Amino acid sequence: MRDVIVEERSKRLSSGKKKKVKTLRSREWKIAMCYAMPALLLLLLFRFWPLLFGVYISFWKWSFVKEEFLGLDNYVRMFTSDLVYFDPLFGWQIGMLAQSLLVTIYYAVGTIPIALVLSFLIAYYLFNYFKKTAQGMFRTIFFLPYITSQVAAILVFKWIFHPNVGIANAALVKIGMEPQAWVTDPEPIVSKFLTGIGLSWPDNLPIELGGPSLALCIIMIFAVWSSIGFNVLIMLAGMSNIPKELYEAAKMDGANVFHLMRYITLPLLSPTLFLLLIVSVVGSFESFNAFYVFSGGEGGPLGTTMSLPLYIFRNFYVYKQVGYASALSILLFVILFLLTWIQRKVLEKRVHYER
Amino acid sequence: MIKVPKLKQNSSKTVIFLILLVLALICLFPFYWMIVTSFKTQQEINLMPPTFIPNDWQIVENYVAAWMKPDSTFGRYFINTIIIAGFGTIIQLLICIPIAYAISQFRFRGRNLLFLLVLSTMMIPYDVTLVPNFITIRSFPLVGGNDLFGQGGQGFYDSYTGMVLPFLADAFSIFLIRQAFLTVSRDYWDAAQVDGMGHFGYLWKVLVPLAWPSIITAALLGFIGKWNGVLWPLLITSSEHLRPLQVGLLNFVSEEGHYYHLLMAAATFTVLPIIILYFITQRWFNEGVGSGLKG
Repeated sequence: MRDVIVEERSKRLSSGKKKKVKTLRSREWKIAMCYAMPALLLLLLFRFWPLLFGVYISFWKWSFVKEEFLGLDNYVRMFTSDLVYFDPLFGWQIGMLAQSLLVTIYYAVGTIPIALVLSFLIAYYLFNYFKKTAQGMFRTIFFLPYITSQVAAILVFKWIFHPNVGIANAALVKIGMEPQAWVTDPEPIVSKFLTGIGLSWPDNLPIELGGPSLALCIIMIFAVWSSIGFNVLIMLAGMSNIPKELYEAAKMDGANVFHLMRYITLPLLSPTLFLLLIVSVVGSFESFNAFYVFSGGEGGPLGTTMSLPLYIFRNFYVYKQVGYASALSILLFVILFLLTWIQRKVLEKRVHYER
Repeated sequence: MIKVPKLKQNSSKTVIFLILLVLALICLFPFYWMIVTSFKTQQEINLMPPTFIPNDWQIVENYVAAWMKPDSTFGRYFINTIIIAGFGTIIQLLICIPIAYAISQFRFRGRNLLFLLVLSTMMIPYDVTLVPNFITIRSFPLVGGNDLFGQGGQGFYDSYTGMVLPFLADAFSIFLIRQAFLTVSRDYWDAAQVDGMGHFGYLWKVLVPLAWPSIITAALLGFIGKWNGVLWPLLITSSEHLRPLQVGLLNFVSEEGHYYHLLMAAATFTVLPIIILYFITQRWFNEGVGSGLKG
């Protein structure tokens, strides 16, 4: 009998405990939500809502107020006349959107690999060959461009590459080369190269396919210059997480510098590198400031510095085609989503997460 | 075991040092060129080949001229930028610290989902949110002459609030601060409870001081982002007296763009405050970035 009572009691006790845990949980949930609420609301309103709202706007003819429902017309326009169109005089031509896509692709392909490789080498040698003080000094210097106002910095680059009195041209003349028009030169570098060796760009191919113009190259140099510091900083932080013993053990086994880099640093740093790659791709597809300031918002010379974000901005701000600008934004989002997904699929197997 | 001879190791170290030094000098060259140009006279900037050291130093004159140029508006631009970046950063921290606390210290259903939600906003490109956010800000209900449905007025358009509001909740700051909070042992919380502290006291009196480097890092990055921001302020303002420094610099280009010595002076005083701030906060900054990536 007694046993039964005890059992009964303990049962009641445990059920009470459970209830208490549950109320504690829901109380914790309430308090946590109070703390999270302001940020959560802002994130929902200004980060997630724009995606849905943007899709909605993109179905309309909209210039500061909603005007007319267009259905998919904005998207049709995006993939037809704005991509390629037929000109009775010149034949098939590349549209503005296609050109801005090309500019953005040249920019991404031309900057990301150089920036990542250079940053890796700098970080690697800084980390392995120098003491804390020297490391800190170099890291600070390389980081300065990253925190510098892009408006101010791109103005300095334009001044360095000034067509008449820029120091870049002075240097070219000094080593016996032709001065360049730089910021005002719309000719793609491939066609420039072909002309240089006595050939010429084929007439039936659109000139836009001939690579970046010198003007775009300046923006690319700027981009590498301004992004290295951030990459180096993150890579150094990643390298300091790699256990020292691994290097020592490998050295014992007779590994040389190359082996250490290839078989220890690279694999163990791969999560960091992967993160930086994704951040760089997103960054270069949404870079606006440098392009805007460089060309005064025009995307010139001849649209060779019209990046996709700048094109979106112009449709919105200059042409007042809010609906179309929104449709272009959605395109940008889809492109970035696919690119991130592809990078994940292709590289995930090579990224070593286990430590 | 292969021993690398001491001499060889030293010489390769010297070579690497020299290469890094050259890279660092290339990296610094634009700063040097900006400052040197800002000290030259107008005749001297048009010299070809250019001079590396000014013949005729204009240390004060160019800066005064640049500051005074477009009807002396740089003072106003500076005040606006300090308001936007300063107050914006403080409010940003006041919003991001609590959510980081919620995600790191409480155990509740949906916590990971919440954290994932925060992180996934980093994958939403800034340019994609631009147009919808503009409309949201302009038709914000019940402010700036708007009715309940956001019609009639201009909402937060052309105001300080409109310039900072969309960027107050920043995923990267939340992430950094959360990482720092996670490293703090639970024992502190138990001790705080013994002392009769609630969540509020514990967060601001114990956790925040302990996570100081990460918070400074988040603050610095937020401040720099707001100081250097140009696209959003350009879109969302129309009154000259509200516009920040970067937009002012753009105006300066369109008005005085050919006077490169003045332009470089204006660029210098735009850039300098941030560089000084970076040097002051560097100690915490390096620590903050380091600890933010450990988890």
